[in-house]
Amino acid sequence: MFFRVIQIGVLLAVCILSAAIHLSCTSYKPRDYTYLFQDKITSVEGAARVGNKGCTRCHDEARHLNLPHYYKDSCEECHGGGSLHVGDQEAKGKIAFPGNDKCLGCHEVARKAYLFNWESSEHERAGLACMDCHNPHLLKGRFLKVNNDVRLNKIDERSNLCLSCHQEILGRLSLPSHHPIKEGALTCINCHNPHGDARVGRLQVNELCFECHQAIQGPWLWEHAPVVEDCTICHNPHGTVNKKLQVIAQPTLCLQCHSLAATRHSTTGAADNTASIGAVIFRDCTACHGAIHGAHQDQHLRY
Amino acid sequence: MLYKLFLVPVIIFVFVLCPLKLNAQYKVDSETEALGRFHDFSDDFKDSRNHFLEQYTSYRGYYGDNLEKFFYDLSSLDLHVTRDRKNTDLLNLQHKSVNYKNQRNSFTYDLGGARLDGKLGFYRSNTLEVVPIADPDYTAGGGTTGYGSQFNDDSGDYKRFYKQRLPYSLNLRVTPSLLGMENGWLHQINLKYDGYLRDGERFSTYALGGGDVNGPVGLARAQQRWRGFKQEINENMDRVSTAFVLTPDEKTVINLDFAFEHFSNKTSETTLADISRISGVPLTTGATQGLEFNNRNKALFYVPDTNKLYGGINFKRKFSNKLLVKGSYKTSFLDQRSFTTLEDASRFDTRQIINQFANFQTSYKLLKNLDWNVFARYANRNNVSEWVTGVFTRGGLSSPRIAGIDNLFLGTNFTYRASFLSSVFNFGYEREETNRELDFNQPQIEKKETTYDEDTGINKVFLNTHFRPCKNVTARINTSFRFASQTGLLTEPDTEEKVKLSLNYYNPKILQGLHISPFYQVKNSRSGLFPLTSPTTSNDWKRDDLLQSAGATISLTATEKINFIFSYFWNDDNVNTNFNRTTRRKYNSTAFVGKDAGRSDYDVRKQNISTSAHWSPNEKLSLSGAYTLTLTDGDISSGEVDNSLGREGEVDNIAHLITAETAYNISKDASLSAQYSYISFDDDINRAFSGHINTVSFAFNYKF
Repeated sequence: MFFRVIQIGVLLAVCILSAAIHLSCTSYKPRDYTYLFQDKITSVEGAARVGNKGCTRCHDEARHLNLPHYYKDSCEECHGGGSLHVGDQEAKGKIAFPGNDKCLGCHEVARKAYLFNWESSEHERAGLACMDCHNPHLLKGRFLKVNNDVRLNKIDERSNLCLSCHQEILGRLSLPSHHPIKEGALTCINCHNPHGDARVGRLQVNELCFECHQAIQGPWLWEHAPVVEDCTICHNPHGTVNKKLQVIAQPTLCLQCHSLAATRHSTTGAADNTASIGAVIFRDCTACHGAIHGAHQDQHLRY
Repeated sequence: MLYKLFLVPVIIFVFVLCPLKLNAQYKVDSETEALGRFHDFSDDFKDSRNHFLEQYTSYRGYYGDNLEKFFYDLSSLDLHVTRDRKNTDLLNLQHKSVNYKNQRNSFTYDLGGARLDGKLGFYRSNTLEVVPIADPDYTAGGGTTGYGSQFNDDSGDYKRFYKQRLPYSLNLRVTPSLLGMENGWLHQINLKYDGYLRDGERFSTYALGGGDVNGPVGLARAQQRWRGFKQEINENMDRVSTAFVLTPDEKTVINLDFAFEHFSNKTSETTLADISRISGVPLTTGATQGLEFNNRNKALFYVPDTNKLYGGINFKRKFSNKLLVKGSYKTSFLDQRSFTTLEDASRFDTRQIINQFANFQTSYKLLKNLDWNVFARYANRNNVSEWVTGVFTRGGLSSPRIAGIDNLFLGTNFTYRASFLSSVFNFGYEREETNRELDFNQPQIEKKETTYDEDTGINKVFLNTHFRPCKNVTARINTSFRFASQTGLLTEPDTEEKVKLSLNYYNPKILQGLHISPFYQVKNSRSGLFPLTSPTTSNDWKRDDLLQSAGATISLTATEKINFIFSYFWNDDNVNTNFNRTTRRKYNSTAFVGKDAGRSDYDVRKQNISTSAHWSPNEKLSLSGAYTLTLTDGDISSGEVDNSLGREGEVDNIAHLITAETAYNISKDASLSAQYSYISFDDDINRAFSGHINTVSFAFNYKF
């Protein structure tokens, strides 16, 4: 009952907030964000250049930073001519903002190396802009935007940024069994390339897991077939309520595909469906089949 | 004692690099903390037993692993050094320490034409491995007959199982201009060395075969079969990789990747004879072809040394501004380099896995805002391992083995970027076909008599949308539908619907800033393409799966001095699946198959509520507090399985985390802080997991 009250309360809160946001949006003239997807929209029609001094009269913070993106007249390299903007400071729209192509136009080395698959990446297809994650106005080497979630004080700052959008993963990471990302032992980008295409990044899903878990990659003489196919059949890498990242608890996890062979598992009277199942199997199948990922010397994956 | 190595970078950072702050070219942010902690553990949290509560957070001090009520911790040092001379070079050093058992170091040196990165980390996790098996109160089952009636713990009274990992890497990126080769094809060279050390121990549980134990047939012999022992872990992986970026012309890029990886297991092989020496369990000799093929020489949980070679080529070419073509071919070769005593004795030395992968994709700009993408991928895995003649034969194969697997993935999608609500629509169709070469050992077993099939054919249609309807709002709606013509195993759904909804809203004008991010996800899948039959019954092999999660985070900065965060997460995994019993281990023409009419239903819910607040009444004083409540409840089974498990078939636990902290700035660079935390975990089903910890800590913090 307590759960239901909380669920209903949260759903109501979400509805109310959504309505509030909708109302605030209707009174707001939508801004044209298509610049994020177009080539080199970095100029404003009719605007002339005013130089960095014109910008730093108001944007004082830029003057004092040792910024790689800040050099002589560099503001207007990305933001276009600023004369209309300077002349009418209320008209923020009269200044340009660089799209992804502008960034990639200069960062050519990156485009050819670690941004090789950016054009088909999940983030690009989802319409993300470089500046959703990066802030070019920061120090070199510290371009990543900062998400200050104080509850994640141990986490790597890159993971913290990912989780600011991927809230469902943050929820998963709070489950009792999880990869220690919140604890900072590894980061989201150990497994995911935010600039990459997951379809072409690896030979198969398991190869990604075996980059760190070589001890279970084999080769095994006696394999467990699902291990060959896909680790995520049994494990959810982000987090589960069950130990060892198992998607559902044993023995149910195993009994989905395996029957309980009566004469081999301390069960009695299994020739019909009426006898009780006082079996050792309920202390976890892997308590006996400990070599569940594969074995060299036992065909039943026991050791 | 490997983690002592961490003192070295700490000392270098503190005594060599920090004085660099005196040089104006360097920007140094550093913070060190001398910490003293007092712990008060509940009675069931004894120093002889590992504990669930410290699985991810070690409560160990400097002086060993004996859990004391007080320890000091000087390792909490955060250091960030940056040197930047106006685009000429950059030095970035970072040391971050969460506690003594969780530390990370990194450095970057960037000269523009060359860049060197290094990383060194350390993390320890504790594992609760013994309690679920050895605790007689943990779960029902076992009975009074058979091998399940007695568990033999050969680890003695040892229960502090842990694993620790030390990852390291060094990466050098060079552009040819540095080497005077700027006019050639070569655009960039990347050399990387990385690896890890992993050590610790695990509780390895197993069941000996009926014929492994010597003695008269009966209960006393059977009760010797189910055992567990403390197995040492000591592994090392080293990998060298290179990548070359080639640009034959302005529109073409070619990437070449090569890597060599060596994995070595440094622990010695544990055989049945070793276990017999520890426990006194009598073993049969089982000699077949001489002494070396003795049963006693069988290895337990043998982890082999391996070598892995990897190579890949990727190309990308732009044709005009409308057409982009990409492709790649990758292959890896895994080779086992060490073998068990029995395999060595038979001169067996071949066990290999070969992976191949190729993909091709095109992207064509049909209209200004409309892209058309076509994607094709082929992957192949071959297990070319051989059986060991006279020792381990194919005749022992008790479940299907995948000798080879081919996977073909085809897809096409359109990406439309509209000015309407600044939206992106991505919709498409995908087809995945898998063919497995299965080795069943017993050829007479027909396909219909196993739950593994050779072929899979899955179709998927999807529509992903992303909106920016107004300033500071982004919304995402992802939907997909999968339908299969054939599936290879039960976990592949015949039909599946997926919906993901999320919203991000940020308004800096509400007080000092309001951020709200709710989400909801649902996946509903069904499997039922396995009409398993036997002489006695026909059975529908089915699985229904409904996974849902929802939540929201609200972050409010009320004033410059007060901020507040509230978050809620709810997760419900509901899987309705089979429970079948047979009279044989494998399905064949004589097997009886009995099924649970009610089927087995796994349904576990999790809720997490977290709130925190921070208040700075003045420049010197700050106060903060947080509370997290985690509730888990549900059933791991239903029907016959649940009847047998009884109470152990349920999940019911609650966790509280309360923290309160105050900090007082003595000066610009120094501060004192005090923190109190209370962690409690109460498990209604498995009392052995329950416990609580009170911690009071005091710290002196200095920024230099």
